Amino acid sequence: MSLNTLQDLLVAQLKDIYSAEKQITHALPKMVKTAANKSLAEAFSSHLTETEGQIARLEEIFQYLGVSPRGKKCHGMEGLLSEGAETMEEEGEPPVIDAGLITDARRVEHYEIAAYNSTIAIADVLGEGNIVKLLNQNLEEEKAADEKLTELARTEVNRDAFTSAVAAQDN
Amino acid sequence: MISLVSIRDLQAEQLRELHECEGQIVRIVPGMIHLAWHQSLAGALESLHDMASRHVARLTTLLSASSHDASDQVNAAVDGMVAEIAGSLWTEEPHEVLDAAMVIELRRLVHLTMAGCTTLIALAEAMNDMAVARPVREMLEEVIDVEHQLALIARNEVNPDGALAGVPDEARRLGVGLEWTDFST
Repeated sequence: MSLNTLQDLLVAQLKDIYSAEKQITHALPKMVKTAANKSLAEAFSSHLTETEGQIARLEEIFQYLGVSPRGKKCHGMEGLLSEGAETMEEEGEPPVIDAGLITDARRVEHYEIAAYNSTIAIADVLGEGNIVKLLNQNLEEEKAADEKLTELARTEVNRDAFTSAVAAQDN
Repeated sequence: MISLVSIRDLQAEQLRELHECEGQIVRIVPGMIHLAWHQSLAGALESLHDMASRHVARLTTLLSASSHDASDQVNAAVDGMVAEIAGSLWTEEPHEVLDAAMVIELRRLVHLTMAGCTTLIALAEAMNDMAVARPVREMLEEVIDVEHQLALIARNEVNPDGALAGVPDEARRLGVGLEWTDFST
C-alpha cells in the first residue's frame, strides 16, 4: 500500500498490529500446553483472553475509520512466532524450555509495545483521541503482560532452570 | 536445532540472537541515514549505528569467552522485521511520511534488542554470572537512551511534519488542510 499521508501510515500500522494480534491468538494455545510451570501456563492463557479483547478494540477502530482490517501480513510477528515454535519443539529440560518460552514471549510483547507506542503517537498527532484511548488500553495490557512474564522468570522459572541444571550435573 | 538442556545453552542462544539483531541494525541503518530527511533523525541513526557496532563487538567477545561462535545464527524474527523494513521504506513516498515509517520500523528492532538484553540479564543473574550481566546491563542502558531519542524525534518533529504531507505550501502557511481524511467515502 502507498504511504502518501500520515493517515495512510496510521492505517498501515493498524493493519500490521491486527495481523500480529491474530497470529498471536493462533500461537498461544500451544504455548499454554507446552508450559510445564503452572503459573506460566496460566499467564499465557490469561493473555490469550486479553488478546481477543484487544482484537475487538482494533476492530472497533477499523469500523470507526471505515476500512477493512485485512490486507497486510505482519512478517515481523510471523518471524517471532516461528522462533517460538522452534523453542516448543526443542528437546531439553522442561524448566529450561519454560525459560525459553518466556524469552520468546517477551520479544513478542516488546514488539507489540513498540508498535502500539508508535501508532498511538501518530494517532495523537492526527487528533484522533478515540483511537488513542483504545490503543492505550491495549498498550497497558501488553506492558502488564511483559512485567508479569519478567517477574515469573525472576522468581520461579529461571531459578528452576538453574536448579535443574545443577541437579543434572550432580547426577 | 539447539538442545536446551541447561540454562547455559539458553544463554548462549540468546547471546547469538542479540548478536544477530544488533548486526542487522548495523547492516540496514546506513541506507536509512541516506533516506532521512530530518537532520535530527539522521543524527539519531548515526548514534544507533555506532552503538550497535560497539554492541556487536562486545557480544562477539562474550560469545567467544563462553566458547560459542556468533556466525551461524539465523533469526527468523529479525529477518521478518528486516523484510517489513524493505517492504515499507524503499518506495517513492513523501519524505515526511518516510521518516515517520522509518522511526516505527526501527523502534521495533530497538525494542527487540531491549527484550534480548533484559532476558539475558535475568538469565545471567539467576546463574550469578556477572561477567555477562554487567556488560549487557550497560548495553541495555544505551539501547533505552536510543529508544527515548527516537520517541522524542517522532513526537516533536517527524510525526507533526508527517501530518502535513500532501498539504499544499499555501494551505500549510494558513494552517488548513489538516483535517482527518474520511475513509468511508
